[in-house]
Amino acid sequence: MATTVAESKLTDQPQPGQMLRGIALLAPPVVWMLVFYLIPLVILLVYAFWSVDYLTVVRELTLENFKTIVTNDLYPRVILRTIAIAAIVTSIDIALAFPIAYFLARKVTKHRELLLMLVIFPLWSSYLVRAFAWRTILGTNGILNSFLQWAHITDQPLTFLLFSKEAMVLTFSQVWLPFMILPLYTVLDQLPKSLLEAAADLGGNGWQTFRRVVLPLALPGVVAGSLSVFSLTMGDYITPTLIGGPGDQLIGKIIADNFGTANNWPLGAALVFPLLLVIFTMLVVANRFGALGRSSV
Amino acid sequence: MSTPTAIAKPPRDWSAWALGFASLLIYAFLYLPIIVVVLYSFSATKVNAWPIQGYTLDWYRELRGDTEIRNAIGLSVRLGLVAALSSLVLGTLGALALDRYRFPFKPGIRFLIVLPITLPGIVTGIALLAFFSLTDRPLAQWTIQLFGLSFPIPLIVAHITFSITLVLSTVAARLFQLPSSLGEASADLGATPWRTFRRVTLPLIFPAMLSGAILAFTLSFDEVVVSLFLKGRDNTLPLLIWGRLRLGLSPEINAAATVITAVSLVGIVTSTVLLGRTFRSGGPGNE
Amino acid sequence: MQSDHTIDPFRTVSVDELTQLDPAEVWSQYRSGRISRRDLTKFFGAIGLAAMGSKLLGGQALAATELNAIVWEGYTAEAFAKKWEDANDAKINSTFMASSDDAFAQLQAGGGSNFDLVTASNDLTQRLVDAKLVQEIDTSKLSNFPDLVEQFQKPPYIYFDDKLYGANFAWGPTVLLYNTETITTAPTSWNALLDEQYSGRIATWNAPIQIAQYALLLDPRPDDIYVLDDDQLAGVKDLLVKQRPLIRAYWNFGGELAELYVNGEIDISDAWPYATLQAQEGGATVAEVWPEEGVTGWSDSWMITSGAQNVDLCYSWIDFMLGPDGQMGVLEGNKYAITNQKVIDSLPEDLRASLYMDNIAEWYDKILMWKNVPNMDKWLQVWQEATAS
Repeated sequence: MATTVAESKLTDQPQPGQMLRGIALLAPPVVWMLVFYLIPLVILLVYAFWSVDYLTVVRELTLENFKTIVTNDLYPRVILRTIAIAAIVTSIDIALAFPIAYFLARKVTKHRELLLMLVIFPLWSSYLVRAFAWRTILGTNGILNSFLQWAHITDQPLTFLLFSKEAMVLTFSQVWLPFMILPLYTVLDQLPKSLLEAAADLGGNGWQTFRRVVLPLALPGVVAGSLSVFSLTMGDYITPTLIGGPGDQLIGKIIADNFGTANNWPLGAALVFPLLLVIFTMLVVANRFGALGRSSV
Repeated sequence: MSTPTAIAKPPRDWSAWALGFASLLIYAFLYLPIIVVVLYSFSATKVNAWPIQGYTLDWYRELRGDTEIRNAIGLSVRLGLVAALSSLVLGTLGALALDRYRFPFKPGIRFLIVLPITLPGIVTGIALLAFFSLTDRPLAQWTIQLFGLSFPIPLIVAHITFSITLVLSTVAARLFQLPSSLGEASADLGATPWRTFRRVTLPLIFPAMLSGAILAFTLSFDEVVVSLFLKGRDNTLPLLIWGRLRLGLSPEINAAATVITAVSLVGIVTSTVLLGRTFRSGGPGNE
Repeated sequence: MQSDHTIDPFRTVSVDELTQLDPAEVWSQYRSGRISRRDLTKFFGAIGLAAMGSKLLGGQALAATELNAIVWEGYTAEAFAKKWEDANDAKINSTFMASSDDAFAQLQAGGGSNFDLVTASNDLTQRLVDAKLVQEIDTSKLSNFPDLVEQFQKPPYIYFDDKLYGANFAWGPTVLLYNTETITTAPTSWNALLDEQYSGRIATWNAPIQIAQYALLLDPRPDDIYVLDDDQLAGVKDLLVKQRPLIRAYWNFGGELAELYVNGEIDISDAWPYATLQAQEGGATVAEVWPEEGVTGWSDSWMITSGAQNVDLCYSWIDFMLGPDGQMGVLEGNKYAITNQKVIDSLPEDLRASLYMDNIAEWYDKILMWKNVPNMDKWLQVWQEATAS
């Protein structure tokens, strides 16, 4: 079924005026992005080829910044750590979002909109406030440790619960989870019921139906959600700073401090390049799963 | 099939229960920190400590007289609404164009349009700071006054920019699912493209548009990193909190978060009860 | 389509003039039927385009009685600022800085004219002067200036080439703080923050300027801990790398540090006195030590930007902040030490002592006040390599 849907898309024939109409539709968002994103980004990236001398930017072409990034293991290390953490958070959020999105989309009939909104609105109480709430929960004498000791599950406070990679992953997973649930819900909501029934009638059990039918069709939603979660994690430096362990900084902080503390815009700008590479790879992959629209051009 | 039963047929009964239970746990996970935030808004001590030493309503009293927080909440709501509405239009247009039409440089455009959310917020913030710095007008003066309310342009631009991507990717995912034969059938029946869009496509993608816009509002309302670099004279709520952290997170901030949560909860419950089927559509899923 | 009495601002009027129209007025014209709906739509469409460089933008529209300041949170708190606002029929708008560098970036982006005032810490002051973003202060316009403690009248971090660029109004040392219940003998050296017996119970401030504090431990000790050569930086890095496994958390905000003590996460750290007071208020048993190597210190000054639009009002505000109301406001709201001797004399003994205002001359001698670090990019790299690699 999935393949026939895809095939029918491939048979789209260009019609007269089609391209014009497409361009007219596309112009407003693309012009916006060109003016307010691409141009600023290019301006920023140009800095990468300059250097800085105390307060002035020296506008002479140099590759020194890139050499620094490659030769100092600080940067590759932090970038790899960032990618790993973002990937873990994304996987956890996929695993958590699926049951709830599927439940809301396919099993619930009453008050479904309400239940869905209840997923999102925890996000309306400030992120910073929630980060501090996690500290209270996960701390050495925090809520979770008190509970574990009260229930005699542990007899010593577990210190790794806070200021660790685990704590950081947990907080990220909670903070970005709605960004996975929503896109997933929208695609699952629209799965043809007849399809699921057909799969069941053909003797497929729940798991088979899920794996063979639901999962492939829900993939664009998963990819859209993953794109958000992965990127939001990769760019954040507040959770690593407040919740992460000593040494668990992510690339966002490294970049931010170069722009801020060191006033070293050139190095900060150069650090954006490896990220562009990562994102580009990710998008190429995402593209194949149709998260950004039909892949047939 | 417009009124499916609450729980599907007996053979699959267990899965509904299991999923329901799992969902309950996930709700608990999402709400755990919120409960803590609410609890600490009543805490008598200024420094958050567990267990809570005593309870007071002082922080709510302090909040009531705090015009700074009120102004900041106002700005954040304005910003979120402007970003959500603008990106709803721009993002949907982009998704439709990318999904339905062919034109040159499509992969490049696709890449460009998702970049703002895929690159760390800090990059967006700094890039726009560099951009606005090209003009002589200082950042703090890029604020429009309309009807007595301030609208800081750099923040609005930044928030719309990352919001477009959120709406676009959500809507695109939905469009990808739809058989294009639907539109063709409509066209074959003689419908104009506009009519096809309004009668066929729009109802089908409306839930996705809505969830994209809600996500956009949410992200904007809570955004710190991009905004830090682009703020003008006025503080958004997250920026105000960030500034106040220097002296420690006062329970007053918890009280503010609690009030926002309570107000939005009431708003959500009433609006969904009143409007009902916002997220449902007469798509093929319900046939 | 245009009837005679319909105004048509869109074809005949330049964009600049257009934007002088008040949207509210256009709206009321529309309501009264004087302009068509189509024109209304166009008008609001035009606003979007005209926004670029238009007069709708704040700037010139600012009232002469408004000040815009970029400040550390708490320095313009309503609790005391209201008094000045009422007395002068003026208003102070504040943007909070996230860090000294954030303030620098903001001011530099605006060429010193986007704000009238800035509260600069002493790691920032010289940069602002070097970048010509702030102007000289005329002390004759500050009636409270002569009451300032001598050390804070013309301190080196705001006094360059015989010119004063700021009014120093708050300060504090970075001291060693420890839990007296778990650490029974008071530590005497910064080495305690590298002591393995406190492993997992140590915190230190997450800021590259702290390199200066750890440079105090180098042997031989650098002449100037804010000007380090490559070897000395490498030496500090070794210390920091050795320290990292012992660290429970790098703290970022003073309030956060207090929370760490109150919740029993840590036993020893560097700290600011206001965090000590907060921790004690929260029930933590902590005490401060001034290590034998000396301590670093911060100090905040009001500076007037080079592009300030209402300089007289700036002086009025600064004078207020150096006087009793402003000084008490900063002290009560933030628990920072203040600089006006007369106000200090009026304080209760124990408060004066707890913030080291009892004998400033003596304490001041032991503080190595922050100053500009010219090669901060290198410092940052060292700090990041040691704490994040």
